[in-house]
Amino acid sequence: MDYLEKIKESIKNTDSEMVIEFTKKALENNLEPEKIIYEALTPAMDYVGQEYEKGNLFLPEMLMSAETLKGAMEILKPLLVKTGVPKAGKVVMGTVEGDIHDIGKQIVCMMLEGAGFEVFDLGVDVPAQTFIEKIKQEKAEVVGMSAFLSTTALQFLEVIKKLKEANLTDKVKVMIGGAAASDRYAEMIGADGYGSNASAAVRLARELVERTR
Amino acid sequence: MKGEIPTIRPTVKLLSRDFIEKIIDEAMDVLEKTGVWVDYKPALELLSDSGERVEPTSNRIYINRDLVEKHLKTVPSEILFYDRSEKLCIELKGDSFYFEPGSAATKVWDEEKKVIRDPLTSDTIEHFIVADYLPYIDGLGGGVVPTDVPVEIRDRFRLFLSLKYSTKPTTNGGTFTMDGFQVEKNLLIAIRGSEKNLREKPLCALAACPSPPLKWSDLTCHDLMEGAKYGIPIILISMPLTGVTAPITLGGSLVQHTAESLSGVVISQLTREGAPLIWGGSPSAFDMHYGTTPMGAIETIMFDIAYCEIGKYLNIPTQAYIGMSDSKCIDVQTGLETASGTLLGALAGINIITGAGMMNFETTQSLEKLVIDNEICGMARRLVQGISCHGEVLAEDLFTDGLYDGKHFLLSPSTLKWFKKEYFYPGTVISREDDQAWIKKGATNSQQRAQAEVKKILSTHKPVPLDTDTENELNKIMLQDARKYGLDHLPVLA
Repeated sequence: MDYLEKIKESIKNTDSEMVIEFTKKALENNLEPEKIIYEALTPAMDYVGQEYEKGNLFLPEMLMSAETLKGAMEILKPLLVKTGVPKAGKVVMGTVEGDIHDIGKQIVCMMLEGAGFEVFDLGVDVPAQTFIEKIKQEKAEVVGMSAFLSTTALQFLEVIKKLKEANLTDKVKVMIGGAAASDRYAEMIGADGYGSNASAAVRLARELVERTR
Repeated sequence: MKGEIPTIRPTVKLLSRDFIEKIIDEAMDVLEKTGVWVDYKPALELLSDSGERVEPTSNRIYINRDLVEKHLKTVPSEILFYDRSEKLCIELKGDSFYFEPGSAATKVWDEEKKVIRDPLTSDTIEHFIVADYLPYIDGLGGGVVPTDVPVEIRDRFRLFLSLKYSTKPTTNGGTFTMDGFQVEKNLLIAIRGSEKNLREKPLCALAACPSPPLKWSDLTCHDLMEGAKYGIPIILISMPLTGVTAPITLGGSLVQHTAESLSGVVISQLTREGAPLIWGGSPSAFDMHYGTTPMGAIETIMFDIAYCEIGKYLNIPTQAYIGMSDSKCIDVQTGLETASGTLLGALAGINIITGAGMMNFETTQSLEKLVIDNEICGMARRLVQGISCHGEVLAEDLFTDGLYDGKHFLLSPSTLKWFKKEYFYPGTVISREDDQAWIKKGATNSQQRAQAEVKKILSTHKPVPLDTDTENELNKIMLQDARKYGLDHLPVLA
């Protein structure tokens, strides 16, 4: 029986009980946690993300898949610590200072976790300095910032400036999102990328982590 | 609050009961005092045999109101249509409503070349394939009239193509010649297997259009009576032009529409009691500036709604040519006029709403417009479903434990239960992505997206084919008829 296929199917079908059962079975059958993540969880979420972007799946359905996948991650996480397998990456997330728009950023956090990232969500109205401290503390590879208002979007620049001052720009990549952001805006302020939706944000985060390694 | 709270069916009404009764009363006066002109001998005979006074030197006949009232009683109040595979799919009754494309266009809009041109058989086929595919288009109209077959057979050739390329029921529009009905009837019997089965499970309604003011031509009257004989539903399509072939005011023209339709009721029911009829029409609020017949005019829409209210009062299923545009290309005007008519027609509960895809005064069909209008039909369907009171507690999410500032409801059980059922999700024609995503996808307008959708439908949608025996039978009937008019073989079909 192909447990990896079963896990993938369970994620696509948002069947949280089966995903746990098949993950356990896969481990019992000596499948490596790393293999389960990279050959079942990640491709399943990629598929779901693509289907969402194509318009074939709805937002709640995509998020349900991410929730379902968490069940498998709960089991695999402790094993990864033991074996020292590298994670997809560490991401510090937050809505910038002066801005309390939360939902979009929350959705991106869920999707990043679903994709195997370790996510540190600083919440909303986050001062630039708090971003920097958390990045240093966790040795994060990516910082994701959200802004809804064109006024608060200026805070992106603050964080980027502080990263430069701390000589962190090689180690930490910056991604932005939210209604006030765009591809052009990212380019203009020197961010490393813009995620237009949660699925695109995951793709972007992966690319950015690649660049730091 | 105890018990279930019913959902209101949103509606629109233009006539009071008193006003409706006045219009009907005056229409009966017209039939008694002015009469109607009937150019078809069998109908004249039928009317004079039943005691009506025929003017000796003309075809003018005066119809007594008692006779009208008597025959109104036998018209069925509902008609059920079955698709090609005999599945019940359309129930004309009460305030139900169904959408079909605007019928029998004599031109097509070519979105690629941006021109209005004559339709070919291939255009008619493409029209039926797209209409077969679209989810909110419930039935077919008379499609597009192909100009590459002899003019005499274009009516039944349309029907022939619709039966081949779609399973949806159809209202094929009017016939063009006296032998048209016979061929159309035979095509329908070929599908149903027998005359009896066709009578029991209608697949197609045909149109009979009196000529305003107050006249039945031999052809339309013939079809009206033949339809009654074979139980093929006939749509009475009275088409007053306000101030030109009918009185100028909407009220005055409604009297004429009612009188013409009532005379149709009498002729039909005299032929066979209980013959199925649809109280339809195609009036137009004549444009005194340009001398044209705008179908998107607000007064045309109002006229349609009003005569359907009269049809409902008389307990007869209704139809209207509503939800179309007079624009000559696909633009903002096509959208705004079509949406106005479609939404209002649905609210009014007009049983058959004939209009999708049509523009340029009911002359021109466009595949792209049809695809766009399908979305309007979907919206209209959602609108009429209204707002329902789901469950005892409406806002369950606001009463759950752990509600905190910034919590979202995207994964709450009630969201997962209702997000699809409560909302209408349009297709690719409607842009709802953010501007960045829109730019990435090519920054298209709705016409361009509709064009892409049409191409996709035509390259992927394969209508359910007829079984070989039935197809051979249809081909035989059609070819036999075509040969009479000098066509040795039918145009090569896709």
